[in-house]
Amino acid sequence: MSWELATVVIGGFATLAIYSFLVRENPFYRFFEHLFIGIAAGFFPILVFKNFLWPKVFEPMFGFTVVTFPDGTTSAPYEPLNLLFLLPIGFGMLYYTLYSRRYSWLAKLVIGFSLGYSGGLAFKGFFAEMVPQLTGSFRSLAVFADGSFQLFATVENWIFLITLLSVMYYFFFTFRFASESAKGVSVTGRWLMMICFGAFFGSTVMARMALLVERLQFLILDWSEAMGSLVV
Amino acid sequence: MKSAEVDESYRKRAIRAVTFLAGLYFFLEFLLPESVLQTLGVSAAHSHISTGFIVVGTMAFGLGIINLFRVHGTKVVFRRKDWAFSFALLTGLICMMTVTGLDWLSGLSVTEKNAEYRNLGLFTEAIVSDAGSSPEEGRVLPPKQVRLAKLIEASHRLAQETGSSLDVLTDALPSQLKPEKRALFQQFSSQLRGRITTIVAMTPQELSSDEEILSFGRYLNETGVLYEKLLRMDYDVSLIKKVYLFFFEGLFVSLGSAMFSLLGVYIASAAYRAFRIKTVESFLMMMAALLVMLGQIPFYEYISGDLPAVRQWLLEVPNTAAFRAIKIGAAIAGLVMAFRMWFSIESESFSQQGGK
Repeated sequence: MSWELATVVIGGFATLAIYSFLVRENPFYRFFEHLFIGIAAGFFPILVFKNFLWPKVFEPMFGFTVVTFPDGTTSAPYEPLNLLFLLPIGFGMLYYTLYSRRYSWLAKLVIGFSLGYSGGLAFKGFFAEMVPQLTGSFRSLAVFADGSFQLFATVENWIFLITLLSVMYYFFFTFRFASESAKGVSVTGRWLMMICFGAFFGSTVMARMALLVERLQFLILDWSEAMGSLVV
Repeated sequence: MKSAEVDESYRKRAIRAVTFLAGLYFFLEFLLPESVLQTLGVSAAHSHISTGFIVVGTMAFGLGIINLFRVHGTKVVFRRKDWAFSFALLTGLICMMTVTGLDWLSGLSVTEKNAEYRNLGLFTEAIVSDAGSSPEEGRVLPPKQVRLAKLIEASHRLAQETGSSLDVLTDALPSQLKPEKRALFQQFSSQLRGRITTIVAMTPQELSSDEEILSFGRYLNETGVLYEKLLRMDYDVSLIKKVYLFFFEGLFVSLGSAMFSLLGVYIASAAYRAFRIKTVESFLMMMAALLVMLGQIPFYEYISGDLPAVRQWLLEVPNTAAFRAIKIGAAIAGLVMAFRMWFSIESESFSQQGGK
């Protein structure tokens, strides 16, 4: 059996094993479920090493980015500051002190570092990403193009703004909605949010269904053909 | 105060200080004006510093793998309940790591051949730029004619090596390729042979102007790209690539797609139970979901030709607006959380526990 054929055959068995869960949980499903976890866990560290650590850290650190020309000269002098990458590597290695009873507190330095760094980054991210979105949300309430009034675009902008404000209003938990009009805005917010959830749900289901259709096509066309060639 | 308590206090302070300093960098980097950052040298080093921060996080990958081995390895060694599944997990992990690593290393050796040509292309650029400017202090450069002679010598050697390698490929590879790939191989290999002949025939006298030198550099670059295409065809039929595809496409992609599509079935079944139209909210939700789904299937034409437009409008206007409102609320909460983490308020218990 060729490797190409084996790839299709195992792909079909793997798919069927996962779908067998629809009947009930069984050893066939659990075997492939565990295999999937193992494969995914083995794939991503190498991917990170290949796409990030090697080109961004180790290549410059070992001087592999410096080209030596045939006459013995180089494209650029080696940058010794690249050796500073040893600091984050060494600091990151402190994670592994978790396995020592005596020095495990050192791992908390790294965890604290990661928490602090994500905190600082979130601050930057909020102002760099959310503020432009917030500004962009407040659209013009009367749209004109080439001097003429655009009714559809205007209505669309009104709907957008009413949805945005009423949904935000719904999430004000700091005071009670005493008046009827305040309750009305809140209820409108809830209804519009339900439309959003419905649309979101529809898109999610369709994305999953597209995957299901792809898998079924694979089983019916490719896998059945591969199994047929095995039998014959 | 006991010595252990003093130690604990120092540890707590050290953890808090490190947490604060790590957050402070990005905070200041965002707030300080560009001119100040340039004066401090932060602008030039920012990408390296950011990389360093990420490197710290990537070091944790090993923890996950070690923990998997500890948990599942113990089960396998002591033949505990369901040890066979743990064995499958560990086998998958080891095999995938090995195969992905080998695939990467083999891919590197393919691109390395192209890099040799690219480096000669870089050399032509260096010859031209160095001739037009005075060398940096302490840097001694050979005369231009000597450099050109070295360039030609290296190009000849590389072209001859490529020629020998191409002979081997032409003998062994075509029979392993599919017809369309075989035709492509013939086309690329005849182009490459022509280029090898041109490079081998090249003399330093033909590179009299800067434009001719740069043009030869570009020619070398293109030759490298062509050579890499042929080597990649060879690599695509190699055992390593086939084994890698067996694991990646046969198992990883198949299992991933099947898992996610399985969730689709469960979402649909949950919807059947949850979407009973008893309230206005459930009616709105179901109608929106129905319109989005109908607008995406090929049968929409039998219902209404406008369904895709309605779907698009639903996603772009009410959905975007409501989702943005939720996102703004969540982002404000996230900002507060970020501050709490940064000032070690959120992780009070975490920093207090010390080494225990």
